[in-house]
Amino acid sequence: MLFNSIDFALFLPLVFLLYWYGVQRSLKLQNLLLLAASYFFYSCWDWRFLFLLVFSTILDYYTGIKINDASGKRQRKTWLLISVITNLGFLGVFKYYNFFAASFASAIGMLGFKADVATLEVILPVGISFYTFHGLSYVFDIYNRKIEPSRNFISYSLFVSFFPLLVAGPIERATHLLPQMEKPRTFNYSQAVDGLRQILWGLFKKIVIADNCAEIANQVFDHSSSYSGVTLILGGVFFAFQIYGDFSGYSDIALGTARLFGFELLRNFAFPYFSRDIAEFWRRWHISLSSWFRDYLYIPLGGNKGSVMRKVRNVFIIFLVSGFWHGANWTFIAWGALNALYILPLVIAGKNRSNIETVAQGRVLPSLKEFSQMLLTFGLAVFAWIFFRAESLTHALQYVKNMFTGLFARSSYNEALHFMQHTMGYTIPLLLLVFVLTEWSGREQKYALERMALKYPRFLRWTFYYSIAAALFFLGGSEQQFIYFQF
Amino acid sequence: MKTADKTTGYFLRRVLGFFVLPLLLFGATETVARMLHIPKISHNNIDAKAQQVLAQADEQTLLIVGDSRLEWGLLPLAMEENLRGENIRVLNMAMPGSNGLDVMQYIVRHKIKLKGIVAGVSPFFGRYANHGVERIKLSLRNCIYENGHYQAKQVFYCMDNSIANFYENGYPYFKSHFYDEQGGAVVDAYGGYEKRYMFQQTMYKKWNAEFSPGKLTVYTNALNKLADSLQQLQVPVYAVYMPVSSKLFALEKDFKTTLEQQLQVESYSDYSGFVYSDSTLLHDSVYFYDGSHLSHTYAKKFSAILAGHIREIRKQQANRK
Repeated sequence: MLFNSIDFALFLPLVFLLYWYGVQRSLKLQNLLLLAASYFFYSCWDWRFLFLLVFSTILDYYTGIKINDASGKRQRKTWLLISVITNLGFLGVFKYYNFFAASFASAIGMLGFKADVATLEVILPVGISFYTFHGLSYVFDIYNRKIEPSRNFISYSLFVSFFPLLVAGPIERATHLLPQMEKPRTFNYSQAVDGLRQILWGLFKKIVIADNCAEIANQVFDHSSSYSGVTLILGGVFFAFQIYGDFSGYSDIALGTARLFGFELLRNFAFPYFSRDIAEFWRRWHISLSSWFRDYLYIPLGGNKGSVMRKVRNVFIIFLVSGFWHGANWTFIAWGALNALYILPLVIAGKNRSNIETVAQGRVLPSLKEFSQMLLTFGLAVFAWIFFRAESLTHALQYVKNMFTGLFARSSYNEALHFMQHTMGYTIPLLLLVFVLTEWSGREQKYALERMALKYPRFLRWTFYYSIAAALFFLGGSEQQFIYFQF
Repeated sequence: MKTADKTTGYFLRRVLGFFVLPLLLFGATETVARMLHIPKISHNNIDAKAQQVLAQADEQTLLIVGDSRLEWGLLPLAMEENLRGENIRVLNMAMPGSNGLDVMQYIVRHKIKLKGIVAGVSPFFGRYANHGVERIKLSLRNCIYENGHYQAKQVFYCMDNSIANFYENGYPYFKSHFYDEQGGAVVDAYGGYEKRYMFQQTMYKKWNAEFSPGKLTVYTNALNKLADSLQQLQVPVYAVYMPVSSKLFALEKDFKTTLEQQLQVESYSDYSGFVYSDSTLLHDSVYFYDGSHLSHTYAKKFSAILAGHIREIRKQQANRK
């Protein structure tokens, strides 16, 4: 069930009505209803994988209690290892087995041997990377004595499976969400209205921005050998907008939906394309994953403390693992490595936290320096996205090679102009302009439209909402799967 | 929880209030369209379309039926010009996704006398069933949504392009494309050739992968039976295999022989080997709008060739008699 489907448009109001009118008097029933709804939501993809989700939930719930109750350090560690190995084992089998098997066969082949390695004909259970990380954060936090284990199985199950975040995050922390699950909730009008506004903006990002950009990006990437120079750069730029609109749109819908039920989820995006350096970009892009890796991998490894070599090692580990988390393909690893290379000079020079505040805070326009910094950071991100989007490493390298071929030739610009005229006309660039300006004007908020109610009179607000709703119907691109579902 | 109830109710009223304006607009459009007597014919309402078009048909009418390849690729005026001596009027009732059987059934049912029918044939036509609900897999979800969508399209003007087409397209207004003075569809949408070709290729690949010999047999049996019935009405059926670009033809040629073996129509023309003027078969973008539909210039040429072919057949038949 996709957030941008009719199914979800029927499912959400039904659950909302039952939640606030049917079972509002009992926290237990509210949680039970949300859990049932979440399992139904998940089973709409493939009910067979529901067993995996339930198993993972039971495992972490049980090991969490065992870690807490264990008397000695060794026992605690054993239970932690059981949870980690089992969770990562499932992830490994479903997500990475074929990759390792094929890579092994290929490596053996290069040495002159022939290896017939069996691959598994299994499909990737949707959301496995996300709910596995939910569960792992829970057991890690118990092991590190940051939280007490939940003794309420329903609340814990809901924490792992809450439908807005189940298949593509944000990756929640038990310290943040679990207390909300165990606390009585009353309807908050402002929170609900804000939730709807965020859902509307999320849908706009996904249906109008991402899906339209996807058509152009797909055209360029699927036929990259037919294009050169500027057109290939355009392909990268449109993919950058596609993936941002797609994933941050999904996150907005998830956060907005959770608000309708009285929950506040972790923020996942903070206008990353307005970053002035790549370190700032990574503090603003997929925040819940970046902070997960920071807290459970980077800091335990020593973070940016110690020798230069140690810093280099830690940065590479975290970015390579992050790349690998996205999928079993060398392209994601290359993408991670590229980002590690980008950020390394900043970490070594100790300048990775020089841009903490929002750009041009309190001002309408950025300074020329800020603008140049943003442009450079965006350019670096786009270059890295080429590796992320390409089908294979060879495809990515070929793409990059073609991109620089004849970049400054007149024919390259003519080709790009011709391409733009024939694929998008004026509508998509205009939509992108409106989108970027709206995001820029709201960059100091949690999401672009957050303070709309405070800034503008009702007539203007509703006109804007109706315009967005009309754009969803009349200017939406052809429906595409959310990119992050594959992870 | 009284306060919570009140707030929830207020919230719901506000949310519902948001939909009042669009609902009013929807209602107003539906009312005005009905008051103006704009015909409401959805894409899959063949009977209503046939009533509109075939009301003008007579024994001098050559009717074209089939899918969008015939809709775009056969220009009535260009054909009429090449059938001039016979005072024939050509009507094109081909529509995207139609295999023409539904129109022919209408003709048989109403015993309409025509000069002849040019029916498009293709091994993939077995999968077409007039975009109707019969194609829909009967899962609960599909029963609710697809049937609901289908019925809504039959009833509401806002669910299809009836109003816009009525004002913009002229005759025959219900078609989904614009028509020029030659009676051919003016095709200028969906970006450049490559992008359009990609769309067609995806579709042909899917059809190729999902090809069902059983469906093809059902289709050819129905076509043969209809051709017999039409023969009794003295309406000859000229089956035509429309040209497609070489790359797309590669995806359907495996099944073409089966189609030809099963066809029992009076006359069959195969244009899969359509000879282009400069014989550069691979130069698809010149001859095709998207690899599947002929470009306007070549539709004109092809219409003339087909008309000449039909004239020849008619001459031979007359000589035999």
